Order: sequence, then structure tokens, then C-alpha cells
Amino acid sequence: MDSSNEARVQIRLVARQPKYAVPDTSILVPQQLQRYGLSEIVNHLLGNEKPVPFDFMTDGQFLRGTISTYLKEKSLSAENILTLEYIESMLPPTEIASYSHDDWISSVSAASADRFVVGSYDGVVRVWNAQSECEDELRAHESAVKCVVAVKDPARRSRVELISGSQDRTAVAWGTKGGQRKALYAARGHTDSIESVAINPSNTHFVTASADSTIRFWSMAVPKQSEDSQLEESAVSAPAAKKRKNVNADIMTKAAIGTLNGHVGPVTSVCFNADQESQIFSGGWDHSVRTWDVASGVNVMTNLCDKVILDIDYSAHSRLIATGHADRSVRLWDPRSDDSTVVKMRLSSHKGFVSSVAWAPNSAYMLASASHDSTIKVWDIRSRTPLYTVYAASDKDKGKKLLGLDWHKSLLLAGGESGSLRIHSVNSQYSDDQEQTSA
Amino acid sequence: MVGQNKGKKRGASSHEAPAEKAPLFPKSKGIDVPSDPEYSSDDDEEVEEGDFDEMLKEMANDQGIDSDDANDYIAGDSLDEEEEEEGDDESDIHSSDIEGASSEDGDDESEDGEDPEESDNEEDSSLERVASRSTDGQHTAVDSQNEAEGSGEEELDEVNMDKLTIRDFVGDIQGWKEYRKTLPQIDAGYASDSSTEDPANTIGNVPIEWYEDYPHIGYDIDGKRILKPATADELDKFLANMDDPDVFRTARDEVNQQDVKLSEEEIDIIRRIQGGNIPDADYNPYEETVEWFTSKTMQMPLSGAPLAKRGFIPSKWEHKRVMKIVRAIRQGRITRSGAPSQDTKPRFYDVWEKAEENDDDNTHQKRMARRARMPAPRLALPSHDESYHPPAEYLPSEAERQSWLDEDPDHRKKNYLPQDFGSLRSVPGYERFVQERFQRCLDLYLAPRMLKRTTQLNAEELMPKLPDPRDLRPFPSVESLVYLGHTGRVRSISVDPTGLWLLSGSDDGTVRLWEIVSGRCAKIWDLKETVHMVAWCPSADVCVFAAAAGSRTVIVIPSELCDEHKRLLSEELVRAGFNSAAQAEEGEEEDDSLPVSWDMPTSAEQATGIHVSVTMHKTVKSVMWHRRGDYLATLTAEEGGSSVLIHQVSKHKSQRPFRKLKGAVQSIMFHPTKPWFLVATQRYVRIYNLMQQALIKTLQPGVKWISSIDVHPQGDNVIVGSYDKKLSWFDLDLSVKPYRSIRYHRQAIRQVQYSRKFPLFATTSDDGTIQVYHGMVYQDLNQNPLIVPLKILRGHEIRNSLGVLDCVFHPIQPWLISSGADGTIRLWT
Repeated sequence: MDSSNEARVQIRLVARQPKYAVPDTSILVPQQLQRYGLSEIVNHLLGNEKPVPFDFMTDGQFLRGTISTYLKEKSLSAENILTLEYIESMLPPTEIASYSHDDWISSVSAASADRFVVGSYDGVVRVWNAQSECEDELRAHESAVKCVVAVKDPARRSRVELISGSQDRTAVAWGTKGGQRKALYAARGHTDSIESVAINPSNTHFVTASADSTIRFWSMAVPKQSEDSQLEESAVSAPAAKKRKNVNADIMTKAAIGTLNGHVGPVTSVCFNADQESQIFSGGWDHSVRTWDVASGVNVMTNLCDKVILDIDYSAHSRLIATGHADRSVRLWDPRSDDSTVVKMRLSSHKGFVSSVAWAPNSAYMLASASHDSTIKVWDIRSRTPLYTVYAASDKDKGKKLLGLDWHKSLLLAGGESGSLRIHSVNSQYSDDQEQTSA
Repeated sequence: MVGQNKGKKRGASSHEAPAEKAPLFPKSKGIDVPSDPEYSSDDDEEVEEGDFDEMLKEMANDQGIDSDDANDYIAGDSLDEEEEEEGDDESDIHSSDIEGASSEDGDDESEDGEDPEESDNEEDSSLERVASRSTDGQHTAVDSQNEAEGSGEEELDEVNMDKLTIRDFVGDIQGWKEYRKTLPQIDAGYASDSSTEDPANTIGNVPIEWYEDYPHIGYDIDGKRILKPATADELDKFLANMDDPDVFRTARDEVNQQDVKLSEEEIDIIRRIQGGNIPDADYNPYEETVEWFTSKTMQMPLSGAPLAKRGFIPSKWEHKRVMKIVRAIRQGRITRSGAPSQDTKPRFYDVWEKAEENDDDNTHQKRMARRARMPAPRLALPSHDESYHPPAEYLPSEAERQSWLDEDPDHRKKNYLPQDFGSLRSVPGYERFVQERFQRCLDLYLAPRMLKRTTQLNAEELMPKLPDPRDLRPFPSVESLVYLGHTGRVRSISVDPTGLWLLSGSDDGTVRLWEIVSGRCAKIWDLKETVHMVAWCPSADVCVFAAAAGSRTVIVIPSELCDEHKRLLSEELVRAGFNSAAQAEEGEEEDDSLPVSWDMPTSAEQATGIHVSVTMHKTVKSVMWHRRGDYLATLTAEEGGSSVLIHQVSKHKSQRPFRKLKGAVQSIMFHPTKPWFLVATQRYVRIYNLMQQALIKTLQPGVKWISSIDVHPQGDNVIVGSYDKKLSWFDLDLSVKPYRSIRYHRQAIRQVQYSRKFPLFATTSDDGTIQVYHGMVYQDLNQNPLIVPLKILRGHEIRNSLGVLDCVFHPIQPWLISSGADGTIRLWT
């Protein structure tokens, strides 16, 4: 190939991470270079013996494809010097373990790097450790568990380790009592399936979202005695109550502190604002993302799109809400901006419902989404195309819907129709970002 | 003789006088003939004889005649002396000719008459004489003054008219000669004499253009500039012209820088001059001659003297003079200066000049069309191969050259062969140049061109204007979920009122409950027999569904889905009937003819939530809930009235609304807003009012076999699907005939379904497709429903020539759920 014919462009390389800084000079490179070639150049400049993969950014967007296509897209002149920022690129997530379940997994949550909670459609909440041992099978729900959430830092003032919500309209808080995990109390009050549970950052309260189009706000504290608000009702339904499985009946009942009414359809997801403990975000079938002040029970803001919201997550770092939609896309919302341009970005690459989204716990840019198309996609919101698409590794998982997703530190957990809890290790630059933001 | 001559002269002048201005000739004092009326004008001015001589000279000068020459005529006796001095002005044709004539002869014309030799000569050239006579015409009377005879020939000739100038100068001069002797002197201070006027400018007789660019015109006596009078600009001039009625007779005198208003007489003179006529209005060129001297012998002759010889011999002198002129004319030295000048510009023949007049159908429109001339097509620009030195690839190969040469010249694509001359210097003349120019000119000149106006009809324009489907979002367009599990045809599906749960009934004998959003099968009821129909109770208070399996209809409470409160209500609704039925049995006997039994299911079934079982004699094909959720209509596979039954769930009662029904009932339906009941037989849809027990109307879709019906949630529109692929939309207010019939499916339509929330409807067919339409019903009764086909959803497989069997719209979302013969249920979002 005749190299003299190649179009060239001057670039200037700027390191985001100080340890990878190169001399600030412009160099002439062929326009046909892609990420890999540029990465090689940087490695050469750094004199790395073991090449470090880098990602390159221009104007806050990742460089995808060749430089020339980027220039063409932006209709930039090749005469000017192109400034490329680079960061150590994230390695593709690798599946490190897969824990098999008999029934569909509806929700996953990691309590710590070696303890994972899985809610399943058979009504059992299972606690796994990193040694692929099922520590506990927690049975209290009469029907499918729709959501589980583990208390991330159990040391803080609470005996509750995890909370699970179920189609039997109860949310059960589980904790260690007398050496073994037991149901501490059952939060009763919803009239329809509980779709989502969220615990506030200081582990004092939790909220539940239900298909009965309400959100209820509960205290985490274990009640001294059963706060059965439906006592009279249950007396009426005495014959029915008798039919209940006894496992559930003797659990103490907890009543909600408040009920947030406003959604006009099933509420599918709820999450806390990590910056502001009294604020929660919720999304549902009525296509709205609502911001609530739980202390006053007021719907602060309502943002509408026209697609069903299946999951919602808030990042304290980017201060953005990510929502998974039935129209196969992930939308990013800025809850602070005025209502006109709330949808900041729409990420579409999935081929099925986006059933679950999770922000990277320590990054302002990284985001993962799980979809019915059995893939997990890792996004950097500086690029509209996903960083990585994690396909199902085993044949058993292929073509099976993913329903639950959690990102804990460097672990990405997902589970779904196939019944296997897929644990992926994510090596990313987020820790460096963290350094940078703290610095 | 003299007196006679004078009298003759006056007589002649009395006739010729009108050629000059009558007032110019004042009444004569001395030689006046008072009897002559034409001289009775009251002009008292006297003209002295001597003065007149001078004046005549001047005027002759003006006429371009040498004053010496004029003297010849004025004073005949002094001619001899002056003749030697002539010949200086050769440029003047007239004078030189005349002079030449006289010098040739060396004689006066008066002597001619006496000279016998001359007269002999005259006789020799009699032919010429005739010619001279004929050219003379009207001036014979004047001639007679000189020759005293030969005044007989005065015939008019066209030649005379043509040769105005010749005649004029001859006539004028001779006239003047006459006036000199007869008329008094003219006052020199006459107004027409410009020499007496004090001219405003002093520039003299120079071209006025010289002063065009200057603000002044000439200089006064002190050497100062005489400024031009201020002139108005064009606009002012125009406005002034518009106001001035005399504008047409106003002329600009550039020399004096003033406007001169012409009098009527002056305008008349201009007109006459322009028309090529004699300027004087009173002059009659065709006056009758008075034959003073005739060939006839008068009884009382004017003169007693015998006729002089010259009286009857043609004048040789005159003849010579005339011949001079004739020769000059022949040689082209004399031209007709008065004749209209030839247009020197080349004139082209305009083919279409007269086309408009000649056209028979000379309508305005056609004329306008003809006037819109089309520009001729441009010549193509020369291309590379027309270059004198074309690139090598344009040069023809030998084979191409040969084929070009072999071709008929008329059929050649181009009429030249590219040639390489190497340099421009060696390019020869182009031999076809003239020919090609000529062809081009022919093309430009003769080629008829016309605009062809054809009406462009696009097929798209003829299509009805429908909104773009993209503007009619949302509607289901992509397959999102597949609910797998059934092993047989899924005949019927139903979505619960909250929109979270889906029921499906299948040929494999099971009813399955699905979580819509995840596709999870939550529960399975095995009813052992083919499930033809499942239907959720539409009431929001209860959580109940009915399933038709075989000849049995079961009413089920899926207790997992509802909370205590709802479950109690549902159980109350479903089970309360057992008590009332028991009471009824005690009280009065049921109508045994009804083929229905309400049973308590087995305890095993009860544990799964089946609370009531209604058994009929025949296979139950369809179950339909009333919108209140208490009544249930069933359709069994039998002919006659008992095929349709309406059951009251809360009382466990059944009734037969129709004693007789014609034909096999295909589908039944409760009206969503009114107490009406729709029964679709093979050909017709009948609408009954259940309260009044009356038939309201019969819809005639014009199809052979109805498969399904649905009523719009607002209640005024009905869609009917048929096995003969046709979909009919009825507007109940409009007609019993379909408002619109649509045939887009390639196979039988199995199900038609309205969306309860969105303006959508869908049809499913055995061709494996679902077609989604926008079906907007307007509140405005004047506006017809808008039906727009939106989307064809493909995905279901065709099994045993059965495609999509049922479809149902999601109650909240713009989603469609369909079930097919392939055992799958699909969610379209």
C-alpha cells in the first residue's frame, strides 16, 4: 500500500491520567488510524513494554471508527490539529462465574464483593457467596420475588441485610437473627405486586414501588410488634388467612410511613437520590419519571417520555438518571434541568426491552444495561455506541431474557430467564476517574 | 402683338397664379385687368420694375439657378453679352444643361424662330420634338410667351408628374419671368422673410449640434455668452405636453431656442409636403386650358395679323433644352430627388407575417399561443472530437472510419470524422460550413416549434390523501416478546384490565397466565379439553376470568393476582349464585329446556381457583362478558336459538335471548355502551336491543362468511372480518352497508379487534400477518372515520393453513398481543 497517498492529520495527545502523560507535541498520523493504532502510538511514546489499551476522546466523545470518518462526520478540516484525549480503556467484562437456579431470576443485588442476593420467580431469595455456595435459601414469599436489594454497608445501624419484594404484595426484610438469616418483618400494604425496592444511602428507610401505582415509604427499623394496619381486614378474611403458608403468617407486619400517589399505571422502578436522601425517582407504565420528596410526600417533578419505563437508576457522580425502556433504549435524564430538555441522551443498541440499568458505582460515565435480548451492554455516556456488549456465554443462557442487573465495584451481576446468575468482572478506569474527581 | 402678348400673358398667369401664393401678387396698378376676378384681391403694394429684377435674381439663386441664367430669361436681348461669362458653375445640372444648349446653338431662342436653317434642323428631329412636347405639358402657355405659337400641345403626362423637380424649376422660372412684367413689386418687409428678423442668437449658420453640450449658444456683441433659456426636464415637458392641446403643432426652433407654434396653414403645408403634394392648397395642377390660340379659324380672331411661322413650328430651342434634360435623365445625371428613398436595409421575408390574418380560427387564445415564440434550440457546444487536434482516444480507428464511411450519410450519428491536423495552421477550410449554416438557418427559420402541454398524472396524486403513518404513532410495530409454552394452537388470548397479565387458551387443553412484561408463565390450568375462548371479566373490582373448554365454561379466580379485598369480592360474585340457585330450585322449577347446568367444580379444581363450571350440551365456541362483569354470553356450536345463551354469574342463571336464530351464529358481542347485543351469522350482523327485545338493525357486510366482529369502544362503529379476506367498517349512524371495505389480507381474516385506548384496530389472518390500522373516530358527527393502514406485522408461522388466530390490544399501552396456530403468543410494541 502506498503510504504517501494516505491522508494525514496532525493530532495532539493529551492524557487524562497523569501517569500516562506524553510530551505535548503534535504528531502527524494517517487518518485511517483507529483506536488500536492510536493506542499503539501512545504505548510507543510511553515506552511501555506491555501495551496498555487506551480509548481516545475528542470533544467529550469517544473516537469510534477512523479519524477520517470522525472528521467527515463533524465536517472538520484535516488541516487543523486534532486534540485527542486518551484514557486507559476498559477491558471487556469477563464472565467469572455463573450460579445456576431452577427458576427465573427476577432480580440480583450484591451486598459485597463476595455476597450476592438473588430473587427468583420461585419465591425464594437466595444468598450466594463468591465461592459459588448458596449460603441461604430464604422462603417467605407466596409467589414470585420481583425485586431484591441488599444493604450495601450492613454495619450501619441496621440489622436488615436485604429486602425483597414480591408479587404476593409484600416486601420482606431479612436479617441475621440468632445466627441465621430470618425474615425480620414483612412490609404489607400494597394491593398489587411489588416491582421495585430501594434503600436510602444511610440505610434508614426504604421505598417500594408497586403495580398498584403507588410508592410506599417505610422505615428500616425492625418493629417491636406487628403494626398490622389491616387487622380488621384480615379478621374478615380469616378463612383466607388460614390458607396462607405459615411461613409468611407469623412474620411481623410493618406498615408504611407514607404512600406516594401520583402514577397512573404500575410503578416499575424506584431509586433514591444518593445526594439528597429525601428525594426519590420513580418510573412506571405511565411513561413518566417522577421526582418525589418523601418527607413531604410531594411529587416534585414529572417528566414524560412516550415509552414504558422498566427500570431506573441514579448516579451520584454524573447526577443523571438512567432509565430502561420498552422501546429497547436507555434514556438519560437530567433531573435538575428544566422540563424542556430532560432527556439528555438516548442510547439505543439493544434488541429487546431494556429490563434493567445500573450505573457504575464509582464512575460518572459508565453504565450497564441488561435486556431481553440476553445481552448486557456497557456504555460510556461519552459515546453513543456501547463500549462492550456482553453476550451470553453458555448455550443455556443464549436467547434468554435478562431481567436483573447490578453493578458492584468491579462486579457486574445479571440474571434472567435462564436462571443463571452471571457474574462478570469489569476492569475499568473508573477508579482513576474517582481519583481525578477527588483530587 | 405686344398688347396681345401681354393679354395672353396675363391670361396665362391668371391660370398659373395659384401655383404661387395668391396674396403674394398684389393688384397691379398700371396693367391691371379689372375684369379679372382673381386679381381683385385688396393688396395695395406696388412693385417697381427694377426692384423686381433684383428679387428675381435672388429667388433664382435660391432655386439653384444661376443668376446669369435667369437673366437669360429675364432680358432676352441682353443674353448675348452675358453668355460668354457663363460656364463657371458646372455643378448645377440644370443650369449647365441649359447653358450648354444655348452655347451649342450659339443663338438665342428668339433668333431660333427666325432662323430657317434651324427650323430645318427641327424638322429633321421631329421625333425628338414630339418627345419634348409631351414632356412639356402644362407649360405651353408660358412657352408661347417666347414663341408666340405652338401653344396647342398641353396634354398632361404621367412623366410630368414624376419629374416634379424638372417641371418645377422650369415652370417657376418661366412664371417668374412673367410676373416680373405683370406684377407689382413685393414688399420686402414681409413677415416670411427671415432676413428682416432680428435673430436671437448670433451663432450664424452653423450646425446647432456644436452647441449641444454647452450651456450657452453664441455670443453677444460684447463677447459674452448668450445662455440657453432654461429648459424643463423631461418629466416637466411631458406634463406640459399633456396639458397643452397644441403640442402636436409645436416645433422646437433650436437656433433661437424657442418653441414655435405652427399655424393651421403651416401644418397644412407640412402635410402636403409629406404627402408629396404641391404645398399650396389652392393650386390646381389640372386646370382646364383656355385655348386662346387654336388651329381653328375664328370668325373674330383676336389678332388680325397672319399667323407667324413660329406659331405652328415646334420650338427648336425648347426641343433642345428638353432633349438635354432627357439625355441627362437617361445618363442618370438627374435623379428624382423627390422620390421616396430606397430602404437600403436588407429585408427578409417573414413567413409568419400574414399568418395571423390568414388564419381562419383566429381566436385570441391561439394568437397568444402563437405569439409565445419559443427560442430555437441552442447548438451543442463543440466537443473534444471536434477539435482540430483531438486526444488520441477520440480519433476513430480504421474500422470505425470504414463503418462511418459505409453508413448512409443521413443515418450517421455525427456528420464528421474526428481528424487530427496537428496544428491549427494546417486546418483546411471546413467544406461543410455553408451547408451547415444553411441547415441551421433553415431550422431557425422554418422549423415549427410548439410547446407540448401534457397533463402529468401521477398515480400517487390519484391516491386518497392519507396521513403519514409516522405521524400516527404510537402503534405496535416490532415484535418484543414471544410467550412460549403452549403446545397447541392458541385460540384465544385476553389481557386483564390492569394490563399486567395475559391469559391464553390453547388446543393443548391448558389456560396459561402470563406476566406480560417479562413473558413469564405464572400459572397453568389444565382443563383437559380444547380451550376455545378465555375472557377476563372487564370489571375492575374483581379478578375473574371465564374460559370455555369443550362444552364447559369455567369461571376462575386467579387468587395470586389479587389482594384479599379483591379476592373476596370476586369470590362473592362467583359463588353467591350457589345459594340463590339452590333457593330457586326450591321455589320454582327451572326451564328444563335450557341446556345448561351450573356446577360446583371438583375440589382439586377449586384449589386451582376454578370456582364455577357451567356445562352446556355443545362445544362452547365463544364467551363474552358484559362490560359490567356480571353477565356472560356464550355461543355454542349448534344451530338455532339455543346456541346463544346469556348467563348471570352472580345468580347462576342462564337465559336464552333468542328463540329462533337463522343460520349458524359466528360471533356474539355485547355493545360497549348500550344495552345491545350483536349477533353475527354467516352473512349478516344483527343488533338486538336486549331491554326491548327487539331487532334494531341488520348490517349487511356483503361478505360470504363472517368470522369476527368488534365494536368501537365509543359504540358507533363496528368492524366485521370475514373468511373471504374482507374487512368491513360500519358506521352505525350512517348505513347498514359498510362505510368502507378493505381487502388487504391474502387469506381469511380470523379476528378483528379495536384498541380500547388508542385509535387503532387490527386484523389477523390465516396468511400469518397482523395488519394494524389507524381508525380514528371523530366526535364531530359530520366527519367520517379516518382509516389508515399502518403496519403489517409478520412473525407467526402458518400451521395447517392456519395463521394468527387471535389478537388483543393492551388496555393501557399501544401494544398488541397476538396468538397463532404455531402455539406462540407474541407481543408487538
